Amino acid sequence: MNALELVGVTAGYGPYRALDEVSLSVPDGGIVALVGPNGAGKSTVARVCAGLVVPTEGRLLVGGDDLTGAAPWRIARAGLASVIEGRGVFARLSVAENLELSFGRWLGPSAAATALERTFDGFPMLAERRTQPAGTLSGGQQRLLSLAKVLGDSPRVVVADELSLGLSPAAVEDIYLQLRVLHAAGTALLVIEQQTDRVLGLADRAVVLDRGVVAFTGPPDGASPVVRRMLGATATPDSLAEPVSPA
Amino acid sequence: MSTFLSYAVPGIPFGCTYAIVAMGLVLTYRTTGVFNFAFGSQAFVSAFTYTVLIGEGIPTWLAFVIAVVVLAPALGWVLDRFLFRRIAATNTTAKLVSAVAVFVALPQIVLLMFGSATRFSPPPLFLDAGRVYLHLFSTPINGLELETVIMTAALVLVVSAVLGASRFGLTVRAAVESPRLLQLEGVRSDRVLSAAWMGSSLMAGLAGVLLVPQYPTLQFNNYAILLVAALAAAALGNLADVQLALLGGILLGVVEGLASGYFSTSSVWHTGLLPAIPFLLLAILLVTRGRLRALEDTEDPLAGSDPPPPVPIAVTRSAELDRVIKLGGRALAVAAVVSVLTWVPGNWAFTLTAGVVYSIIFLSITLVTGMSGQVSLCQATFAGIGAFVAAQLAVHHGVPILLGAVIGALGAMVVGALGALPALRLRGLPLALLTLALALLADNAVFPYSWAGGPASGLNVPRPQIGSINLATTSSKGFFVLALLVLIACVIGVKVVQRATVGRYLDALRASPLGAESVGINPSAARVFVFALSAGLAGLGGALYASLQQSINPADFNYQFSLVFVVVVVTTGVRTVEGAIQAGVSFVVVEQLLSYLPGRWGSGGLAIVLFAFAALTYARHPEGVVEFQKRLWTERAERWLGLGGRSDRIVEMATASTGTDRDGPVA
Amino acid sequence: MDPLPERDRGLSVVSVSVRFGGIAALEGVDLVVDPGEIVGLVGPNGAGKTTLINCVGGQLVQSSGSVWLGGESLDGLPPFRRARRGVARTFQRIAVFPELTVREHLFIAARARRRGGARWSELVDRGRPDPDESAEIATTLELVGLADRADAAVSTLPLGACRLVELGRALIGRPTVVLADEPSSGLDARERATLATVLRTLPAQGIGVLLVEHDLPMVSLVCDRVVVLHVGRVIAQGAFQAVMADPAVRRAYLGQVA
Ligand SMILES: Nc1ncnc2c1ncn2[C@@H]1O[C@H](COP(=O)(O)OP(=O)(O)O)[C@@H](O)[C@H]1O
Ligand SMILES: Nc1ncnc2c1ncn2[C@@H]1O[C@H](COP(=O)(O)OP(=O)(O)O)[C@@H](O)[C@H]1O
Ligand SMILES: [Mg+2]
Ligand SMILES: [Mg+2]
Repeated sequence: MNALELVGVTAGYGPYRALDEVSLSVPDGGIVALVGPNGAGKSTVARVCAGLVVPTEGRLLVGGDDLTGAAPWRIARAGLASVIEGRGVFARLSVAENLELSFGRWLGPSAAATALERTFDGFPMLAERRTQPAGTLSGGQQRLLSLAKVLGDSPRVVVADELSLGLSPAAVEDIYLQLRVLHAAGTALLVIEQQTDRVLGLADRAVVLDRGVVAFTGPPDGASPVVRRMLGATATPDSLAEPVSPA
Repeated sequence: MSTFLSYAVPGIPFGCTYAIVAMGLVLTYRTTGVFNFAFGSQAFVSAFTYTVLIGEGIPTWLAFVIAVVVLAPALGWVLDRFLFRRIAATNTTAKLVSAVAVFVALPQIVLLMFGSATRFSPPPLFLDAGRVYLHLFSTPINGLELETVIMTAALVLVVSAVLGASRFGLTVRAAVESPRLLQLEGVRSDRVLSAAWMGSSLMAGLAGVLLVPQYPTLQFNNYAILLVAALAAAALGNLADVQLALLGGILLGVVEGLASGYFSTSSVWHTGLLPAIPFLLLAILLVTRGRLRALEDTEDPLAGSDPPPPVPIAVTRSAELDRVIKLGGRALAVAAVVSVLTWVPGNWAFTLTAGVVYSIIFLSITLVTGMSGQVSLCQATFAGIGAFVAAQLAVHHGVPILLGAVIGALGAMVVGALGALPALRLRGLPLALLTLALALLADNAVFPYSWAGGPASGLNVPRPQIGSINLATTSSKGFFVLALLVLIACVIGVKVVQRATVGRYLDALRASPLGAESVGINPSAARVFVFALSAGLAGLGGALYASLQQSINPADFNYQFSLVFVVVVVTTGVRTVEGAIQAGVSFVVVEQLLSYLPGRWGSGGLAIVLFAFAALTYARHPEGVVEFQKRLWTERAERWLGLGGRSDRIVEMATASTGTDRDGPVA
Repeated sequence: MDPLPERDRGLSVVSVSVRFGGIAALEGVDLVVDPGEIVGLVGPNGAGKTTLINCVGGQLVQSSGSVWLGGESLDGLPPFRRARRGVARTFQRIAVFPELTVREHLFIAARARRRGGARWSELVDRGRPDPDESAEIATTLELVGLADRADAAVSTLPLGACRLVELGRALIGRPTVVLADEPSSGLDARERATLATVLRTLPAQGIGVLLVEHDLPMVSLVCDRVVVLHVGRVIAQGAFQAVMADPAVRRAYLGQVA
């Protein structure tokens, strides 16, 4: 069964159209990478999945249930957890309160407490700042906090927009490690990334989006050439695309 | 010492009344994210219902249940459902203006429905008002005082329990910050906020009924005064801390008790300082307290999911329609002017002249709120300064009224600039509160003096004399022309500023103070400039108003006018010069039309109610009612006429690669 | 403390410390950016990079230490005065003016950053660039590659373009030093390429750049020198390859145990 499925979704913002008949699906326990140039509509896909943007046409299914047009809270209760682009934390609540808010919803008090401790073990940086208002964290720390919020309890499917945005190499390493753990526990993943190499290594399927339409769906190996063709022509400055292997 | 105590102790129960309202304000602000001016009006509604029911002979407990337990939460639910829920969590101006609109409109609705006959207050709930129950430091405490203290203590327990209930408290705080982000956690944040509103409204109702016996008769004004005085107590608690707000309220009562005891009733302190104490305190707290300054709203992390605000329809409508509308608009304006000068009867000519004068005052709001994005609640005060300076100069020094008007405008300008100085580091809610404090200071400590606001019986203000034409004798049509010329000059002035470099700087500062300052824009200079210019405009308008009315008295420019002005202009359209003029004219025309209605319906309250109802649409269309209606009708016209309107096109993908992501990545 | 010789030229940060409550976000950081030099500032999340930029830009006042530009102290100056002295910056979370067009952004910056401050004529002029400013705006638009979208409102531009708008806004008016806070985050490969190209033109104009980045290929490509910050302290600096080979850096930043 598919944990998440978009069927022929057309969506946009007021008069601006951003997606045109996009279909994609994430099987239970699967990992799908969604890549494409900026402005392709990746974030819009994430917002449609979360219920923040309502499609004008097409359907959204979570765990087989049709949730097209449903309010975000309903989708969340169906087991979909979103990591939105940018800062997804309550700035005035402390780090611990942000986490409690997420965990306390689904887990009993004692399970929530264990989840909290587990999260703090996984993110020592957050543990040191548990009473600091989340709004005063550095950009990367806020990002980590919003990831930690969904990693703590195991939802049915996680949609993560711009997963590694603004994270240091060590933190990216760490996050990918934790994603694998989460996946091993049975959570399906839809991972949106700008830095394609890494996510294509993780995923078992890739979808390439370009200007609102799906340009490619298939195995991750097949996606790289498509993306390169899309972006490669103008990515002049010599070695930009190549990863640097320090010393 | 015993004198000290005999002055201080009676201040405590009195301070408790402040404390009750202050705690309510803080509670509402924390649980709904709205700084709810309407709290005072909600309290009044329950108090009124309670009083009426008691008057009908209904038992006290039943009246209490109906007024407090049933009506109050219902009112809260309605306010949330139809007004505040529709306002984006980050739109401070909209939240402020909507709350102010409810504040001024609710009591008017009640009075329209039940009439304004004098209603005597019922006795306290369970104690005997006159009986002395105990002596504290040999000061007698009567039943009314004792009951107030007991009820305050009970309320503190209830409020602390609600906020202390950690899980609910946490959810509410999250909902206030971003309802949508909370939804992503699977929480029905609309229900949470609805519950918060009902709870806060219940508290308002409770406060309202508890306060009833404090006054011999039931009057909205008492509740309004209580509300604004309680602001200082709430500010002491940084608008966030219930216990501190409680303490602040009691302290305020004690300080007032001491002051009224020690200052002899005839001293200037007694008449000037005493009534101003809460507002002085509020102003000082706002300027000096770092935590109050930091009360700005956080950005909505989900702003990127919303479409960008629509472009003004005047920009996107089809060229044919544009030409027709512009031409039609001009023709209409000319026709209106010609009509006033020819066939329009005297009372309507007067009304329209007043509309022109109001337009001048309202332009000042276009500057402050439209261009610099700040809400000022003291524009009527600036108008008052202009009016009183011009009037005093004319009456006592024989200065021609027009020259006086210019001097008055300059005076208001200076006050505006000086007032802007302490406000430099404030924006949003704290700034609005500071301007309100200034307005109340003027109302209580300046305007009541006869050297300032003139005698309570009023100051007689002359009409201008230009050459041999006396505008008083040649009917008010001459004055109409004069006012129109002044308005045109002001419009040109405002447009020049809008177009000039400083206009761009203000755009930048409104959108992102951080970004604007980082490229070298001096925010203080821009702020002082805008406030001074806007105060000057208001002052000029005020002086003309005085001359038009030919008589003014100290209460003509009190803070309630400032509130009404802001509501009227913002709901009509605050971003454009046209909006101010439409607001000015419709403000008086609606009032004049309604005055034909029989009885209390014609008394002016209905006009305020109507403008407040416009605020309901405003919540959804922050560009203003006029702009919204224009868009609606333009789009319809384009459809009917098949003009292939540029306004209802779908922007296709190719161009949509220009979208927005205002949120950007993380901070 | 008398100024070091380097202070006569570009930007120098002298033992700057910042504390929030009890926590130290920066502790005695020294840093120099010479004119025409691109210095990379890297470090783990929360190392204090943005805090340092805020201290230079004036958005934050350091607890101790001082900041100099071209031999003059910037301490105590508000952000707008620093901007007029030649400090330009971009923001990690973009701070653009959504309703204004790209051109207006550049115009405002060109005008406001003019040394010597505001003039009275700004209250009544036509709000249009003079010929000099127009030329400068045209050049900058060309440089950041936004010439074809110059008259679009920024609210309709995608994030990548917004970052370039911010960069253009920072570059106009020839600043002495540009502080770029993660300018490439959220950009795709194509936009990164534009960014790198723009950054590499700056040294020739004598502009110094302090570049905060997690995109190491970009850092290695454009930076002359790299400084690594970790929990508020400089733990290494020097040439890119050498710094990245440092075991302490590998442990703290790259997440590989050497
Ligand atoms: N809030 C918005 N209003 C209008 N257009 C938008 C908004 N958000 C995104 N867009 C536009 O929709 C398209 C898709 O954007 P997005 O989903 O953010 O792309 P991606 O995440 O792939 O970079 C782009 O053209 C973008 O400019
Ligand atoms: N207002 C604040 N209160 C407490 N800690 C803060 C505050 N602002 C920033 N910090 C802390 O200072 C450190 C440095 O943050 P920052 O300079 O933004 O990091 P980065 O290097 O990722 O840009 C972070 O650990 C952050 O949590
Ligand atoms: Mg995106
Ligand atoms: Mg940072």
